[in-house]
Parts: sequence; structure tokens; C-alpha cells
Amino acid sequence: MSTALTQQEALRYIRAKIDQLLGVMGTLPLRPEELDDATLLEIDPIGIIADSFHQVIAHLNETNHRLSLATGEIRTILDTLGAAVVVLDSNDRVEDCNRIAIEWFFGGAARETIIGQAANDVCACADAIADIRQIADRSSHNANLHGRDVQIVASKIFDENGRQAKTVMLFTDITVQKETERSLRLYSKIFRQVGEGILITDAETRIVEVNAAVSDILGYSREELIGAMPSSLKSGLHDQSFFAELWRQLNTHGRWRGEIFDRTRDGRVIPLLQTISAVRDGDGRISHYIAVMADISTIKERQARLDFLAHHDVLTELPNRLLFGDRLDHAIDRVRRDGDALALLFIDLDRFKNINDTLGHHVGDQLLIQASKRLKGLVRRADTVARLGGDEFVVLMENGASRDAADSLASKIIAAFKQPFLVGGNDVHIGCSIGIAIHPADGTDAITLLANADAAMYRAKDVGRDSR
Amino acid sequence: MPMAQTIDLDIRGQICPSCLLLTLKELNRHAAAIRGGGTEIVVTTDDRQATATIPSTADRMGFRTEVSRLDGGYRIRIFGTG
Repeated sequence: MSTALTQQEALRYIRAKIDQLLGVMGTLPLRPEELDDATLLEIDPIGIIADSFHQVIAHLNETNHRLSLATGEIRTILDTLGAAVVVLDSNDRVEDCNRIAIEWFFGGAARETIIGQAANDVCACADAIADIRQIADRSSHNANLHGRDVQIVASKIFDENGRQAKTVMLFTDITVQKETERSLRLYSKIFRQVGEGILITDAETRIVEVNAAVSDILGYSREELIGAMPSSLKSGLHDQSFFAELWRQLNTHGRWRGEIFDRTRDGRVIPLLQTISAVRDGDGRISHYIAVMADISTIKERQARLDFLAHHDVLTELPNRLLFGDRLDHAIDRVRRDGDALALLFIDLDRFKNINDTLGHHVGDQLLIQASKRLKGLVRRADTVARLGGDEFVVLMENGASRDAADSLASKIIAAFKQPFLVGGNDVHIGCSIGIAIHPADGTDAITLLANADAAMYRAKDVGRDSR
Repeated sequence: MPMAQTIDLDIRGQICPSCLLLTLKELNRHAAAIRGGGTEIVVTTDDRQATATIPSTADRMGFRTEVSRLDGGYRIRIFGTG
């Protein structure tokens, strides 16, 4: 058998090889009626296809080169990313992961020991990750993995047949964000529930936020206060210098603390203990002012009551020995200066002990209250009536006092006290003895005057009750 | 961007694979110029299959193509990515 090919055989061979190459190019075979043998050889299809293949391969090489660079670029991006990235295939094997993922989920193992492994074998939280893979939908889910709060966005990647080929999971650490949210929730709760009023203004002192306590204290709703100026709450009790000093301290020290009277929605003026602080932004400019306020009306009232009780008799609410001594000292100073006179009337109730012993202390107390009122009704507004203790009262007469005026007042008192007191439905009869001392005749100091008035009272009592 | 040179290749009346071979022959000849971005080949054909085979092969070679319909045929524009 001859090995030499006939021309026909050679042409058939060429056509077969051309068809083979065209098949690779994805097109139909070459039909003889389309291209006769002479044209076939003239256009050189094998040469054309070979040149084209050369370009395809060159293009492939360039594409591979670019792909390699892109892969390196993606790897660098992934490894410098502040989030963890894990790529799982459809069988939960790790296809890829970045540096942070290795640190967070794979115990710092070498990447090559992780890639291709079942996630369960290399990751303690694989079940949680696999669960998330099942519901991967590009929406974010929050989870706690290894004590770390993470936000997870999982995205499916499908192959050309529409099958889920892999899942890319991005884990962002939101521990700090969660802590911030927790802190914000706590601060919000404190802001809402704290007993002190908190009022926040912008730098132009326009109110931007208040808590419920401010509404409780001032009577305005939050909506009424937002946008308003705190100056609309002014009571009118503070002058310009008060506010000038407040602003001076705020601007100098960033804080002012003190008592301020504000007007409530219903027109009441209430004392507030306030601390106002200036809040500065990152550039050092004042952005807000915060006022923390407490209504100290009750404290003020209690203080006033305590102050009153320190200087007055609890039962009769007349000045006590302390206040009386103070007023007497001042009165003496004044009469020394002005050359005026003053008179002391020392009054002791008669038979008071019997009332206490027979009708009880309750009746005795009521009697003292009525006696004090009766005494106050007899003296001038400028005079002082005090209870020194027990059934002892004293009247300090000033402004034009004289022995005659004192005698006259003593007579009126004795006459008034002869009238019965109605206590507990009973007429109670007592009387009183009065001793008088005049400045400067009977003494020029408080102790001497009181001692002489007291002695005069006892002399009067010796003479007979209802006397002076 | 207008091309510095447009090479028109009218292969109406031809059917694949001749369409592909004639286009590839022209493409091989001007490959460097086309890749450089200043030259393009505009193929006019009335073979529908050529609108699939020519863009597919040109794409594998790293060229970009645009196919548009003409009255009674198709226009396949082949140009570089540069």
C-alpha cells in the first residue's frame, strides 16, 4: 500500500482539520459547495485560525496576568479590611478567609490549613456561620460570636447554571457600637427618669431639649419649651447685675451654680438650684448649654420654718428668749444713740400652775396660746411681745416709751387678763402680775433691765395678784 | 470617540463559516491597530449566524463588538479595548 496521499485525500484531510478547528471556534463545518478547493487553499483557513488562536492565547495570558494582579489586590484589600470575610462553598467548606477572620474565628491558624477544610473542623462557631449561610440574602444580621458582637452580611454567589456555588460572609465588629448603644440607652433612661430637671439649649440659648422633670417643675410641656428662650421663664426678681455675673462665670469658668427664681406656667415664682454648664465642640466653640435644676421650694420653706423655730416659741409662735434678747440689745443701742426711752413689762400669769395641774397641760397650752394672742392685741405694732418660758411673757416698748405709757399698758393687760379665757368649753379665770423696768432709770443694759423688771414683777405678785 | 480609521468589510452573500474566516483574516491583519484603539472593523453581513460566531470569537481574542440591525442584514462593529 502506497503512503503517498492523493490531492483529493490531502484536501479531505485539510477540510477535516479546518472543520475540527472551526468546531473549537464554535461555528459550523466548512461545506465544499461554500468554498471550492481552489478558494480554500487561497484564503488559507488554517493560517487564519492559527493566527486567531495566537491572539486568543495572548489575550488569555494577559487576562490571567490581570486576574493574578486583581487577586493580589483583592487579597490585600481583604487582609487590610477591618472586618472578617469568610467564603464557604455549598458544603460548608472554607474556600477563602481574610486575616481578621483567621484571628477571630480560626484561632490564628495558617490560611493554608484552613482553606478547603470543613468549617466545622476548623471553626468553633461554624454552626452559627452555617446557619447564617442558609439564610444569606445580603441583608444584615447581628450575632454574638466568641463574645464579639458582629453584624453579618452574607451574599450568595451562583454558578452559570444558577446553583448556589458559594457564600461570601462579611463580619463587622459592632462591639463598640453596641456598647455605645447601651450607653446611649442608659443615658436616655437617666435623662428621662432623673429627678432633676435637665434643660439643653443651643449656643444661642434656644431650648433644644428638656426632660420630663423640667415640665414637672415649670409646668410647661416639652413642646411648649422646645424653641423657646430660657429668658421667658424669668421671674423678674433678679437684676441685670445678677445675670451679668452668671454669664461672666459661664464664659470664664464654663459653669455657673446658684439659686435662681423662675416663673412657672401658672405664674408662681419658685426657687431653683441650678448648675449651668457650657458644652464645647471639637473646635472649642460653645455648642450647647446644659442647665440642671432642682426645685428647692420645699427646702426653702423648711429652712424658713427652722429659722423661725430657732427664734420663736413653738407653742405661741411669739419671739423666744433668743430673739427677744437680740431685739432688746438693738433697742438699747438705738435709745443710747437717740436719747429715747424704752420700757420692759415682765408679765407672769397668776394661777397658771393650778390650771396645768387641774385641767391638764393641753388646757394649759391652749391658755398660753390665747394669752399670747390677747397680749399681742394690746400692744402697738412696733412693740415686741415675747415668751421667755413657762407662763412668763415680756413686752418691749420702744419709740416714745415712758413710765406712764408702760403703766397704762400694764393696766390694760391686767384688765384684759381678768376676763376669762374660753378653753375647751370652760371659762378659765387667771390674772397676771407685771413688773416694769425703764431705760435708763432702771438699768442701761439688757441683763439689768430684765432683772429689775423681773424683781418688780415679784414685788407686784407679793402685793397681790393682778397688780404691778 | 471617532475612529482614525474604519475598515468596512462587506461580506453579504457569504454564510458561516466563511463569514467568520473572512472577518478573522481582516482582524488578524489589523489586530495591533485595533487593539491600539485607533482602528475599527465594521462588518456588514446578511448571515444571522455570523452575529453570534463573530462577536464570540472576537471576544475570546480580546476585542469588543457591537451588533446592530441594518435593513436586510446586520452591522458588526469590532474595536479595541484601549
